[in-house]
Amino acid sequence: MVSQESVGQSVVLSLSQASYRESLGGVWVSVGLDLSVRSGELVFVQVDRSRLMPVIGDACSGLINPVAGKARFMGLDWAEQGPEDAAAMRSRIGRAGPDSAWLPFMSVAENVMLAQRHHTRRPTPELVEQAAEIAGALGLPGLPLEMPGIVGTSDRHRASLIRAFMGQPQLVILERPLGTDTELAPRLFDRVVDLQDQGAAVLWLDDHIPEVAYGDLGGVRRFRLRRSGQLEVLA
Amino acid sequence: MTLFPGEQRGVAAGPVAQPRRTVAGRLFAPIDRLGAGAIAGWFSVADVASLSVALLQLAVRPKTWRRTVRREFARQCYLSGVLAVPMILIISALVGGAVVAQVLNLFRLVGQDELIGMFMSLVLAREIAPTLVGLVLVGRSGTAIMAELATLQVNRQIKTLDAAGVDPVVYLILPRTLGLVVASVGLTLCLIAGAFFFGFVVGFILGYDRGNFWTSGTSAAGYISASDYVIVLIKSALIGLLIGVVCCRRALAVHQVTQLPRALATGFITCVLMVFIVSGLITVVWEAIN
Repeated sequence: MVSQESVGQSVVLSLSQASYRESLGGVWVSVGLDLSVRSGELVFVQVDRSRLMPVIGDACSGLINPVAGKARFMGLDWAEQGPEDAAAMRSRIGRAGPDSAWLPFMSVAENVMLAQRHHTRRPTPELVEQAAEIAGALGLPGLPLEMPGIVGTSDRHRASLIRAFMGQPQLVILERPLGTDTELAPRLFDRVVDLQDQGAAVLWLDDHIPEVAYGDLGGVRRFRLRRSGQLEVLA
Repeated sequence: MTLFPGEQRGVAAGPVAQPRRTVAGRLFAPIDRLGAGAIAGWFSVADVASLSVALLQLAVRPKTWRRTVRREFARQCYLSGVLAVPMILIISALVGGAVVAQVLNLFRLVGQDELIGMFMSLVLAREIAPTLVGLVLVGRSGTAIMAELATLQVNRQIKTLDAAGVDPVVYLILPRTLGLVVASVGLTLCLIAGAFFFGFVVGFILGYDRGNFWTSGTSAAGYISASDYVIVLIKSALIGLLIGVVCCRRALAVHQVTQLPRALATGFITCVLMVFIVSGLITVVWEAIN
């Protein structure tokens, strides 16, 4: 359990009156987000239309800019950053989901370590050690060394979580992180609590808010993104 | 498709009313199309040029060369350069042998068979080699790069890279393009050396005796001035650069699998045309300057 004290005062992600307009399969959708996530916090967002999950992830990662309002990460406005600064900021964000994409010309293990190898000078053995440790915590016997195409869906999904947890992310965006893997839940919650303890903010996007979110987890807030694209606070 | 609150049809999704065409409109339609084609072509050229300059700017910055980028660059050099050497050697044998066999007979008729070295040096090394290597690179690596990047784009893998803060231009386009530049220069030199060697062998078989391979080779190479060497390098490097830029640009414009075959076909044709245009243009400009 995360105590209220471990929730920091610093706002990691702030979407203030931010509205987005994106084309999904030829249909324009509008999403209004007014949300701030502090370090050490776990924020659940129940997204009624799962098609909107990537849009929220993109909005939080600064991949799309709001048509109105502001989107800030670690106090910096995404819209005011150049490509290099934005890339450096994104290196502090981990993102995972069942639909995560993989580079087909390298193994899953290499995919998992790619961002860290790109952004940091951490030696490869150290990265392998961290990845293996997270893999163990998520119930994988080790890091999958095969190419993404031949790794099973469940293992690939867990590998996407390892990829999101690598390094020391300031923000972790989890899109439907449990997928259909029910055995993953306790292990994933343990890992999320560890991340909160380390000061990371976690944004959990799902079709429904898991039962555990109403339990004794600390630093939790719950929201619901309605079909109309408006965000509301849940009790 | 059901529309939910907050959704509305995009412009592209709905039918667009076509304006009624007048007689004058029909008369000027071909000119319209010609103008539109010319403008689109101009924008494509400007786009390729600006991307090439941007890549060169990125390439000279040490910060660009992170270990992931270095690895992709080495991989591309291996795939496009090293693995193409056997093919280039076969082509050099065929071209070198055929050129000597054909031209030697011709020169013998006019009693000028010692000009074979000059012909080999000027025509084969300066003109044929960079163009042939360019064509090999287009067919062997350019299409592969196009297919690879277009697949990454369609499957949202490029977006995943972007979301992780890995710039796709730096990580995917730069190493592939510069890998093609290195491969183009290296393979051109390889083709020239191979063509000289096999040309010498064929000449020897046909009774053209100008000493050993070394003396024959150095005498032929003597016809090439320092500026000719430079022009060969510039030409092959530019061909490699433009093949890389055109292929990457064409691939990233693909957003649906159904667009891939057409993109591959048009990309291939564009690159082939470009190889000839660049090769010819550089020669003409160089001759005009000199």
